[in-house]
Amino acid sequence: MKRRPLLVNTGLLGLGAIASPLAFTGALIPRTAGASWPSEAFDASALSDAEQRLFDGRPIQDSTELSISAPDIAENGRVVPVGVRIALPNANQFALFAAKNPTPLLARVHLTPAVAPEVALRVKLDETTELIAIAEADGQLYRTSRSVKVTGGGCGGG
Amino acid sequence: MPEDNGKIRARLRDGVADVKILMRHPMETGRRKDPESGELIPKHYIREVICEHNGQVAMRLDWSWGISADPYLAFKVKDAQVGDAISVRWTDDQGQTATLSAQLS
Repeated sequence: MKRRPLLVNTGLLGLGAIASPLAFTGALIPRTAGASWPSEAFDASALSDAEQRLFDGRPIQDSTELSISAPDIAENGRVVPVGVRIALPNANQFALFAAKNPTPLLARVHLTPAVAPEVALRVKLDETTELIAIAEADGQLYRTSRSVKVTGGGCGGG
Repeated sequence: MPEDNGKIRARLRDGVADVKILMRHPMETGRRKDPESGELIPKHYIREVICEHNGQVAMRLDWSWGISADPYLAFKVKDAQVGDAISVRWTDDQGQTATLSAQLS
C-alpha cells in the first residue's frame, strides 16, 4: 500500500492538477488508462463545487427530456438502482450526483452514437438525498433531479 | 485478482444489444472500518470502464467510490448484429484491470 500517501496528496495538490491533469494522474497511477478521470470533481465535498469543476460554471437549464429512475424509498443505501435516460438528441455525456453524499459526484459517462443514451447503475447513498443528472447535448447542459429516501445502509462510514 | 471477474450478458433484439454487467470489486470508499482491527479500509475503487462494440469504444465511464460494491452496469448498443463482439474493460485506482466479453448470438 505504498500508494496511499500519494493518493492522500491529491487533495493538497488539487490546484496543480488543473494545470496538468495528464501528467498528474499519469505519474500517480500508472497503468490507468483514464488520464482524463476528473479527480478534482470527484474529490469535491460540495455538490456546487463538483458541478463547477466538471462543467466550468457553464449555464445549465432544467429539462424534462432527461430523466432519472430510482426507487422512492431505498431500504439499503449501499445498493440503490439508478437509471439515467436522455431523450435529447446528440447527447455526448452526462454526470450523476448524490447531493448529500460526502463526495457527491458518482459517475461521469461519455456517450457515443454507438449506444442508446440510457444507462443503469447501482450506487451508494449515505442518507436521504437528491439525485442530480446533468447531461450535455448539442453543446448545451441540462439538469434533472429526483429524491430518494434512504432508510438504511449507506456508504459504510461507521 | 481472482479469476472470477464478474458476469456479462448481452441479448440481441431488433438490432439493439441489451448488455448487463456484474463486475467483482469491493469498491471501498475509504471510510469503512475493518470490523476486527477497527482500522479504516483504504479506498479501492474502479475508476474507469470502457465499453466496446467490435473493438470500437462505444461508451466510457469515470466512476467514484460511490458506485456500489460488485458494480452493476446496463446499457444498450445500437446497430448490433449476430456475431458482434461486446466487451467491457475496467481499471481500478491500483491499476488492476479486467475484461468481460460476449459475442452476440
